Amino acid sequence: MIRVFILLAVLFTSSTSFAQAPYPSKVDLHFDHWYDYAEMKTALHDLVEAYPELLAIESIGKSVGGRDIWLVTLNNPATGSDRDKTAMFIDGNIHGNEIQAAETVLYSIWYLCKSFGVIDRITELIDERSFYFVPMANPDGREVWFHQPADPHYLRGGIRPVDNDHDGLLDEDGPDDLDGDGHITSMWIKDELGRYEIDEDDPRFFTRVDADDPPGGWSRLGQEGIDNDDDGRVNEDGIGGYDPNRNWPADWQPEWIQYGATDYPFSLPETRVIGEFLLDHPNVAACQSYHNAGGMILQGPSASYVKYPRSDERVHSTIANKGAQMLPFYEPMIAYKDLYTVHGGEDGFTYEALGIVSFTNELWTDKRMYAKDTNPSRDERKQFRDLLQFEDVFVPYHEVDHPTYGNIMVGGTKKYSSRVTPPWMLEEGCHRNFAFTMLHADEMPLLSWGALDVKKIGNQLWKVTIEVANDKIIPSRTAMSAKHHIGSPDVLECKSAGTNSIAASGTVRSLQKTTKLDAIDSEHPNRILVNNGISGNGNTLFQFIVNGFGEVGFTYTAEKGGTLERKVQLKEQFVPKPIEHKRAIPSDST
Amino acid sequence: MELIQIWLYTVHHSIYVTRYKGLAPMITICLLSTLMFAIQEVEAESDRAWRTPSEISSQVMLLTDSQDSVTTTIIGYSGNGIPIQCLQIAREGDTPIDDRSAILIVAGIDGDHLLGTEVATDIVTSVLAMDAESSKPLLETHKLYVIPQVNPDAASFYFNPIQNEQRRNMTPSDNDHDGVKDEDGTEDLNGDGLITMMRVPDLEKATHLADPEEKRLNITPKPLEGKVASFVLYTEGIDNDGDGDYNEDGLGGVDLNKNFMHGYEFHSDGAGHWQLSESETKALATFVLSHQEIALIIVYGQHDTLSKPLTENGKDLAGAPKILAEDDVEMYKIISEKFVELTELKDVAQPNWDGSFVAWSYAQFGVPSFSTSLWTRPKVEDAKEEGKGTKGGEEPSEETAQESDLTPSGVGDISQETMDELFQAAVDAGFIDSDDANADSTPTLEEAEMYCKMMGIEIRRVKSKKGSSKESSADAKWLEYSDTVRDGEGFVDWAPFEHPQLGQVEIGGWAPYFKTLPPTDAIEAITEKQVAFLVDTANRLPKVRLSTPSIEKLGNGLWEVKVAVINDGWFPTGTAMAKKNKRARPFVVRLGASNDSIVTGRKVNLIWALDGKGTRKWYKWILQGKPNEKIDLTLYSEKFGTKTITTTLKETKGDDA
Repeated sequence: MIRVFILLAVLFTSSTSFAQAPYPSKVDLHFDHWYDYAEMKTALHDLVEAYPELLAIESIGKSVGGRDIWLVTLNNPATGSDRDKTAMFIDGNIHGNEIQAAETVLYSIWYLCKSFGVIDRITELIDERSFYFVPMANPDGREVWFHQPADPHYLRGGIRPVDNDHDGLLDEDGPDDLDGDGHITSMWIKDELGRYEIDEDDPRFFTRVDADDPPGGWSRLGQEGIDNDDDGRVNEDGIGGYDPNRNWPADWQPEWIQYGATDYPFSLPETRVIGEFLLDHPNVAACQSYHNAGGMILQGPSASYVKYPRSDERVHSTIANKGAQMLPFYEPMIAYKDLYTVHGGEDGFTYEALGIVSFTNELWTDKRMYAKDTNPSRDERKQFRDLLQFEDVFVPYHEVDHPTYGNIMVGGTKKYSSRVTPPWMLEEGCHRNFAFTMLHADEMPLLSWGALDVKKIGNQLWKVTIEVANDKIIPSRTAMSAKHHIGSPDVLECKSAGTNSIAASGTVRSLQKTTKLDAIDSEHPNRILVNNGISGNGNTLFQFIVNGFGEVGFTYTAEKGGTLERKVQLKEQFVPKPIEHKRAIPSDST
Repeated sequence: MELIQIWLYTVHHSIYVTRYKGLAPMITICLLSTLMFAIQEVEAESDRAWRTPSEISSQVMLLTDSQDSVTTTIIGYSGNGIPIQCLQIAREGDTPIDDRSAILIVAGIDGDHLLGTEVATDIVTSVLAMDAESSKPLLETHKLYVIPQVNPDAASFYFNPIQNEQRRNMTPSDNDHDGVKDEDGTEDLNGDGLITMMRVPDLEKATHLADPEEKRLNITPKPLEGKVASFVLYTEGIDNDGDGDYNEDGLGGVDLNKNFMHGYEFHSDGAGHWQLSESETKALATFVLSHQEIALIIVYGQHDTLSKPLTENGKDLAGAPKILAEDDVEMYKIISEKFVELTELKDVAQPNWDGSFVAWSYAQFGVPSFSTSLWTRPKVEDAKEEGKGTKGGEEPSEETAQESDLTPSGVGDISQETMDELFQAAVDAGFIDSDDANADSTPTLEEAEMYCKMMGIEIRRVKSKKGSSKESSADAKWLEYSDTVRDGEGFVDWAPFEHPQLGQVEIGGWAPYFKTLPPTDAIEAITEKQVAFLVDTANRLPKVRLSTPSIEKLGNGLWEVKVAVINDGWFPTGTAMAKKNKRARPFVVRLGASNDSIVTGRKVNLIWALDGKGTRKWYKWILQGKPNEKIDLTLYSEKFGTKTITTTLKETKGDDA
């Protein structure tokens, strides 16, 4: 009897210790849900109100349609201001139809806030870094997707009127929702010579007949719509006609080379305000943009003739490859090589113009449908649609009376039938991508003092060797920044009082006796301009020949690496490098 | 009068050829009288002054207020908040003003090019003063936009008490990449009101030496010829930020003509953070883009596309023509020839046009776009005859029959023949006794030149057999021009100076703006010539119309309508580049019948480019209609206006059947 009691007691107590508590947020948000502009705005403001010690929100500008472009700053003021820390910038949804990008950014803010003070690794990350989030970079396009008849590719751009067909009229002939179902689908017409037929297996679909088979009896008329301007063409000039992700300055090319670029870079307020924000925040050392679809972690270059310095390419690839491990079925890619050429894209700009390590993730891949490395077959897709999505992504073909064509069939896939993550799979996608950005954030430069060595080499003459170390993959100055003098160089300054002076300064390769100072020819040896920064997983030994006595102070300032300070007594001493800083994710070597 | 005293002192205390020993007192008297005469002459002319940005603005407002045909808008603001003005000049005519295409003149993008601003401003007055018939193409058939000063912030530098050339705008910038902006600019150390150069002796860092053939000029070392560098060159000033470099980061941020999209070079010096980053360039580009009716652009500034024809020069990495599209070369060549014929301005410098406004206008806005610097150093002989800066021209050939006979005298490059002439003139004037002879001392080059000038002796110089080195030949010619035509005002002679940080240095060099701006008396003639070019080019603009349509009754309610679009102008309606880039709006030919009623032919047709000289493009439709039904044919162009023909369905014989 007692045995049973003991057994029960053990079982009872041990079962509670196995449970993993999900950490609640002060703001109840769901990630099986898509947030339109108003809901997203509310959610962001609710988070800021609930976590005022961490969050701030501002509108950095207005879209073409007058909607605010919201930017959330996440920072722990107890460890410094956001500008004093190395920061990461994360945005999404610059293509209006790529909606789940905004939810992914929202998730990031939500998860960080609720984990602060609860999960040690997250708390550490927030203490060390600051974050800037722009969930909806194209609010106008997003709203068209949500509240106007749309399809999975619409509205990619914005609502500034463009004369797509050059006929002198603006946006005069866009798609029309003939059957009023809120989706822009396809029109089909009975046609004796038509190359399509009603699918034998699934009469809900039209399929193409083989080339050597007789006609199927149906033709596709095109996208749902009428010839609004009576010029003989249907839907040739609706809203849109430009691509905000071709409007960035780096390798910007005019429309005839790059469709959608508009007349000049940053002609769109949506892109310009982000560019100006980043120029004004040189502490940003990592950028991430979210798009859909395809399951990719994209890095530049985006054109074959754009060359990235090798060391920076390696940094990008190392982080992207790790990310691909965290994101099953996502592929790390170099844009121009593995995808297609993009002129004037955002990650090209943030890296080439501002020297920031940058990625673009294309969210969702069909491989996730069955968690397989290969794309699903036709049957598998049908099964997914019918049995897992309960046929909800499809409008069955039905008769409509068209003003010009007469009796036609209208139907097809709904706006969320592709590209957008099925809501019941959204949260995992958000989390894995968020985790990837946290890996990236954690690899931003984090500078620290290393070893210190002071040797007396004469009467009041000292050789002071001071090490600055960077235990992260990303250097404090990317090779792109160093090469093109982007921003300010790092600066190591030796300050001393009274009659103390610096005779010479520079770097040394090691602390061995035979190593000579590689002196910098300078009028101001007390101040070393370190244009190349401290390399990733690297360190630099700086050496100063100091004339004097007492104490000197060292300050190392890096735009992307913060400020370090150290006081050094001028007496013979050696201080070894402190224990290596804890890494968020163990390196592959351990 | 101070100058006279100095001169007298020099004359009496310098070493001069004993042959001419008695010359000095006589020359003094001579000089005094010439000086008196000269002063009188100078006072007789009233020298025109360069106008400050404020004065230009006032003139613009004066024109606006006094002339019905002139209206002015503000297209934007400079970095320092000065409004950038644009004038529209147009008279009532057959076509409503709002429906006409426009010619745009832009000047003053380059802050040091005050000449362009003056000419652009005066051109308005000139055009208004023309008789109605002559100015018709500019003000009635088309309209004229003039933006005289895009960069007033920099232009104002000319008028500072300490004059320093400034081309760029005033965006604060960290030119030396040390993390600080505009911390080390120039200073006027020798108090002459000009920022010139410093020669700093420094055997360790030396980069230049004085040209042995013309000591005022600096050349780079040629060790194999025994020419070793002996000094470093800096602009005049001190090291304000203690970094060992001098004046490496002063005022001046972005070169606006490097801030435009075509050929934009990221991270290059003066290009700005990105394309159109500057308020001035943004204002200009936005104005042009929102005025699609602009059909021709002429720029006055540092670039040239007219004195020497532009060429096709391959494609950039993205596939766009770097300079001209091949099929535009002929057009530019003919315009160029006409320009040279009318202005005689040839052989000007042709700086690379990457990032410039004119390049963008041509390559991306997509209209014929031209640029001229308006003036360059004239031929010295012509300049002496006709006035100081009126003609541009070829370099005089190095060897004339005369010059090859000359022998050196040992006095600079002045020929012995000239020295003999001088001696003879002095003897004739009774200044010296021909028997005096003392071969021990000689006058300096400067003295001999002065004496020759005073005595009216033409200085014939011996050209060195090797010829002047390529490097300094342009500078040498500028010096010649300065010395002989401009009284030496273009160059401040090197003089020793005790620099607070560098010790003994020499200060001297080109006077600011000397190579960019002519004497103001040249402005009027330049303006006249530019007006002539402007009128000639305006007359070439496309003249597009619809022919009278032909209508044929086919029976069964069917009609065939045929019409031609004709360009009687010289320019095609679109350049080859415009055809490529499809940004300049096309002509839209629209048949005003319902789509249903059209059997063949398209209701809406686009013409991207139609050649001139009577080239026709035909359109033919077959449509259903009732007899005498009204049909509209519309020719619409955002650039060239709208023309509509209303016709009725009945048998009609049109033009050019």
